[in-house]
Amino acid sequence: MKFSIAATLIVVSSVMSLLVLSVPVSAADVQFQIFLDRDSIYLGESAQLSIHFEGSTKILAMDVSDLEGFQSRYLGPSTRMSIVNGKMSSSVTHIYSLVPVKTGKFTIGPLSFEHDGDRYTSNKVAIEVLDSAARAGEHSQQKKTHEIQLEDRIFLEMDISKSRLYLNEIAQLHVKLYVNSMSVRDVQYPQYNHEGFSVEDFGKPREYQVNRAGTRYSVLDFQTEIFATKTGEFKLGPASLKANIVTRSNRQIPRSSFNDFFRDGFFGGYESTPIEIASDALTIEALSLPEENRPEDFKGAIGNFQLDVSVSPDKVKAGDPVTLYMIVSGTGNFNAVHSPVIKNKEGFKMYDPQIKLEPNRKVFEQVLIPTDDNIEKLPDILFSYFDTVKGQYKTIVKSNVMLKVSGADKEEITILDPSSIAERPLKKEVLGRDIIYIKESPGDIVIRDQYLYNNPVFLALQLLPLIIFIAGVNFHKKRERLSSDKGYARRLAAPRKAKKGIRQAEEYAQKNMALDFHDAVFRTLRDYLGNRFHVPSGGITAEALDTFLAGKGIDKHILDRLKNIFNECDMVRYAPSGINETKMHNTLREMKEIIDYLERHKDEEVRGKR
Amino acid sequence: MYTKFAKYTVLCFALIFITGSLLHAQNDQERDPGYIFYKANSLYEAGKYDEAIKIYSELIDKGLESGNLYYNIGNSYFKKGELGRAILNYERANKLIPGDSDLKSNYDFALSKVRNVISVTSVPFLKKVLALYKSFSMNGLTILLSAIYIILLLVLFLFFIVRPGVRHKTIFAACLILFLLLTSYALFDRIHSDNRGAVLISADSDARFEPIEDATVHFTLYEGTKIYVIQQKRDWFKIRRQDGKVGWINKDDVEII
Repeated sequence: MKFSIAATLIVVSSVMSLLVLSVPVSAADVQFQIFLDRDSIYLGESAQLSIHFEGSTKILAMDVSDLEGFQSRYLGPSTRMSIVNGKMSSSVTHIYSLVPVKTGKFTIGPLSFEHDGDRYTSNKVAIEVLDSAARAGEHSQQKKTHEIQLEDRIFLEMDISKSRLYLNEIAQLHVKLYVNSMSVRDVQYPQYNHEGFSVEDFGKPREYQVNRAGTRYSVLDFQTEIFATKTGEFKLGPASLKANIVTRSNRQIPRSSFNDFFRDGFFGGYESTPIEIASDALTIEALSLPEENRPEDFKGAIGNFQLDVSVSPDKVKAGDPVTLYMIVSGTGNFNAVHSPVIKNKEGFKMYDPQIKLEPNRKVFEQVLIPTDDNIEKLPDILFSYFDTVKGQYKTIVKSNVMLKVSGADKEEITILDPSSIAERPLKKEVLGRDIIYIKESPGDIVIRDQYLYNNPVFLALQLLPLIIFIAGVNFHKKRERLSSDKGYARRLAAPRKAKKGIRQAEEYAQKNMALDFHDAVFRTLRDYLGNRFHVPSGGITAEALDTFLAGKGIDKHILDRLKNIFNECDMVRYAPSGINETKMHNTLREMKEIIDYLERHKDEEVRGKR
Repeated sequence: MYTKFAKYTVLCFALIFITGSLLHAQNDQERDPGYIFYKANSLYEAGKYDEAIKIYSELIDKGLESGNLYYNIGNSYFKKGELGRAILNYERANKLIPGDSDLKSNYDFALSKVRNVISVTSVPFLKKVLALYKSFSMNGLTILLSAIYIILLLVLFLFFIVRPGVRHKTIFAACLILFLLLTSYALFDRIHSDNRGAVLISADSDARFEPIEDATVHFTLYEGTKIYVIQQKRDWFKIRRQDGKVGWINKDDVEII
């Protein structure tokens, strides 16, 4: 039943969908209208434009990017279908977000579009854009008369500390976002063209406020260092930055509980509008360093630096290492600062310096080994740089750094060159050889010349698996024969069963139960003979004994005794009164003797067959 | 008065008992193989090799033996400079602890000191196969043989029970039987060669064509050379060298392993 209802619903809905989709849109059916969700708006807010097509759901969104005074962003479509009194109607509304870029009164529309060769024209709507700065006092303050642009409320600026730079000279670059009377969030790092410059990443921006031409701005200041890598005139920027403007939402249509929740529920009726703003570009001139008066030891350091030199320890023996610390500090491009130059290297073995770059200083640690015990001080240490403030080269000379070197004690001073050590052929190592040391423990002490192979107990034990094997084989063979040879199984079981019968007969004899006794004797003998000669027990009677036992080699005397017992059993069934206990014991003895005879006779039979 | 006498009597008996126990314990200790072994070790450590050998040999005289014991005797002889007896004892140790790496190292080192080591270039295939059993001691080989024998019986019994169930059972059984025979032969060979193996303990000895003092010398054997005794006649051993050469040498120059 459920299935049939569901199937019916599916069929009906499918048919309806097909009907809706297959309805041809005629020109007369389509109505084209535009709506705004408000008629006035402040700069920094957004309005919602709805372009509504009645009579079709298949009309695509229009391009409204060229609306004067607004930036537009397509939000999405909203479709509707309904059947009222058998008449079906459908519509689609394309919704746009409009962000004003200046104040003033604007008219949107009439818009037009073509569909199936017909041209449609919409109505027009008016909207006034007000200055957001006046919002706080909109009821009391007078309206400003001149036009206010969005750029007046939010804009980006690039600023550099110097517009003429020497190669490798560090300059501070600032990219500042100015915002007035609106909220901005999700501000991304600025992007800008920096061809011809080496730039660092922006650090965390600084936030502060400035007053500019009587207007108070919140500033987000992105700062970094740049230096020119080529000479010439270059454009730095323009910088662009993406952010979201947070505006108050006054949505009227479409509105649903989901919209309420996501747009208004948490943020109290505010929504964000993405915006990308750009700054103007800067023109920077990069100058090459002058050739005139350039020191020989100049390696490209540019800025304003100081040099500190120290040595530790300052008293050593020749051959002992000392560490020379050379610290360059100041302002400038430390990437271009190289190790100061030691003027005279005579009397020293020198290794390459270890370099540590710290804020506003660079430390060079160089290991020296004095080889001459007459050294009193370090040789002069020079550091040259280009002073960008004065526009000339400067050389710092550090002399008279004391290092007292005394003679080595006894050993001859040898300065090892690692490269020569590596190349020296290794002498083949000669290993000593001798016997390994004695054992600390006696180990397993055993009786001398006593081995398992001559141990009688061990040898006897070896018979055990063989015995088990033979027994297992015989047992298995016997089991197989018992399961396949029924006659053999019966013959084997005959004496066991007979013993059981004899025991029962003995019990009856002791209790003087003549009838039961003879019944047990008859049954025991009959079953025994049946099993013993593998014949049906049921047919064995006194009269049939001759037939059954013919050719079995049974002594005639035994046969007669058997017949007598059988006859006696028959007689007792009809006249049990003449039987006493002695008679019963005699019969029992007779039966035992007969069974014993037949068992022995079986062995003779087997021997005879062999 | 009576009490005092009793007290002294008890004290005397106690002293006699304690002294007796201590003496008995000391005697026990001196008979303890472990104690004797450690005593000999301490003599070895002191560099008294002769005395160490004498103490180690006490255990042998008691009818006891162990691989470590022979190893230590071998070391003592080696330190004394008696290479032949050192190798002889390493050979004896090898019967009991064939897998011992220290023993192998010392044995190889001792052999390297033997003058004129006879090198055998071609080894028969069977000998190569038997060499696979080299790491087994005599008892280990016996146990291996017993295990193969039991497994063979078990496998045969299983074949008997599940007759049509096992494929290639003949090949499997034949392999087991072959393994059994090979191990049996290895054990037999070990027993046989152990009873015939000997080491030359004198500095050098001439092997002669006949068991007579002035017979022609066939070849000379040097201290530490391993040989096989084929026959004994009066004071002479008929021996075979590893390269197959046979000769008669004086009985006093060799010692059976």
